[in-house]
Amino acid sequence: MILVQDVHKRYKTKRGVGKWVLRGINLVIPTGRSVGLIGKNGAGKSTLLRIIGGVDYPTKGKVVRNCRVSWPMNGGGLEATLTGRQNAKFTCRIHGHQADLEERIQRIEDFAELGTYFDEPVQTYSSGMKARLQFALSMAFDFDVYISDEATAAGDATFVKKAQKAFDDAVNRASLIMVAHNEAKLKSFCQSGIFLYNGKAIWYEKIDDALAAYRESIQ
Amino acid sequence: MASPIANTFSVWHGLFLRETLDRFFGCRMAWAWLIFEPVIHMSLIAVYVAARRGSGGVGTNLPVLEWLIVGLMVFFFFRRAALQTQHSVDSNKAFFAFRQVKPNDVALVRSTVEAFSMFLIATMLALVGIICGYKMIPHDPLIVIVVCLLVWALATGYGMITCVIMRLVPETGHLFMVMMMPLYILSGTIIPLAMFPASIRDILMYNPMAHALELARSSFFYPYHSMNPSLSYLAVWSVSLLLAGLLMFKLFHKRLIER
Repeated sequence: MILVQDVHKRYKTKRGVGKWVLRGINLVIPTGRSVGLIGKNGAGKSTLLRIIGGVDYPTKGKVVRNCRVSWPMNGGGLEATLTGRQNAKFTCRIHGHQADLEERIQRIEDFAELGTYFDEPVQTYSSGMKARLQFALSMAFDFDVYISDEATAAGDATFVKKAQKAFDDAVNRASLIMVAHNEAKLKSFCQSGIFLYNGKAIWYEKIDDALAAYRESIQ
Repeated sequence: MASPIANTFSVWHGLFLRETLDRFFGCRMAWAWLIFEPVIHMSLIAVYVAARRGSGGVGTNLPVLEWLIVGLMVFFFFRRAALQTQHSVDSNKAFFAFRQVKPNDVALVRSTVEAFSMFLIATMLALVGIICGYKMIPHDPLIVIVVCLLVWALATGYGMITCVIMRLVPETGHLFMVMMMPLYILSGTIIPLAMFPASIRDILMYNPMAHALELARSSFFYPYHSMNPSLSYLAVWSVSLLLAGLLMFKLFHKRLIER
C-alpha cells in the first residue's frame, strides 16, 4: 500500500518559487491494483509519480511506502553515454545483484530485444528503444509496484503486447502505476484510475470512470 | 531486505566501476590524457627551470626536478580530485532516479576513483624516474601517505562545498575555475615560498595546500629547510572541509537532485 498524505509541490524557478503544481493530494493506492494516472499536460502527473517513487520530495506532506516500489521509468535511470548493457550492469549492481549479474543481464537483453543496439550508447536510441530498455530493466527486479511514465506505452504494438503479458504473468505479485494518453492502453493495463485536476487528485475505482471524468473536464 | 550498509556498498561498487570506466575509457585514449596532461605540464616547467639554471631559484643543493615533480603531483592530485568532485553530481544525474543513489555517494566514490588514478600515475612516474636515475623514493613514506589522504579529504570537501555553491549560484563556477591559478602559484608549486618576503610568507602559510606541498617535499628530501609546515594544521583543514562538505550535501540534498 502506498499512502499519499496532503502532498503539495512547487518548484523553484529562476524567478523565485513557482506556482503550486500539486496542492493537497491524498491517496491510498492499494498493492495488486494497477492504476492509471490521467490529466492534462502540465497537470503534475510526472511530478506525482516522481514523488511516489521517492526520487523527488513534496514541498509539504508525505508519502509512505509499505511495499517495494520501483524507480520511476520516465527517462531517468539511464546514463546516455553508457551502452544499454553497461546501464543494465550498473542497475543490477546497485540493487545488490553482483552474484547473478550475467543471468539478469541475459534476461534484460532478451526482454528488451534491442539486438546489437544493446551494446551501443543509450544516446543513439530512439524513444521507443529507451522505453523497451527501461521496462526490461525494471522488470528484472521484483517490485510490488512498478512506476511507469509513458515508458510502457511508448513501445510499438509488439512490445506493448509483450509488456502486458509480463504484467499479466506477474499480476498476483505486482501492480503498475502508469501515465499514458492512449485510452486503449490505459484500459488494457489498469483497473483503477487517478484523475489529476487543478492540483488535486480524485481516485476512481474503475479506470473507465476516471477516463469519463477526464473527458468531461476537457470539453 | 538488505541492510542499509549492504545497500550503500552495492551502490558504491556500481558507481566505482562506472566512474572508473568513464575516467579511463570515457573518450578515445582517455587514459592516455590522464597521464600526458601532468607529464606535458611537468616537462614544460622542467625545460624552463633548466634554461634558468644557475640563476638562483630553488637554492641549496636541492634536486630541482624532483622538488618540482613532488610538488606538482600533490597539487595535481588536489586539483583533479576537487574538480571531479565538483562535477560529480551533474555527471551522474541520471542515476538519482534510483532512490538508493545519493549525491554524497557519487561525490565520495568519484574522488576515490581520482585517488586511484593519481596513485597509478604517480607510481608510473616514480618508476620511470628511478630507472632514469632520479631520487624518487621518500625517506619518510608514512608522511607521504598521510599527506595524500589529507589532500584527498581537503579536495573532496572543497569539491563538495563548491558543488553546492555552484548549484545555488551557477555563476560562481567561473570564480572557482579562476581561483585554481592563484592557488597553484601561492601554494609554492613552482616558486619556492622561501623566495617571498617574510611578511607575505606568513600570510601564505595560512593556505593548507602550502603545508601539504612542503610536508610532501620534506619527506622526500633530507635535509630540507622548509617553511616548518604543520601536519596537524593541514589535518584540521582537511577534516573540517570534508565534514563541512558532507554537511552541505545533507542540507541541500533536495536541491542537488532536483531537476
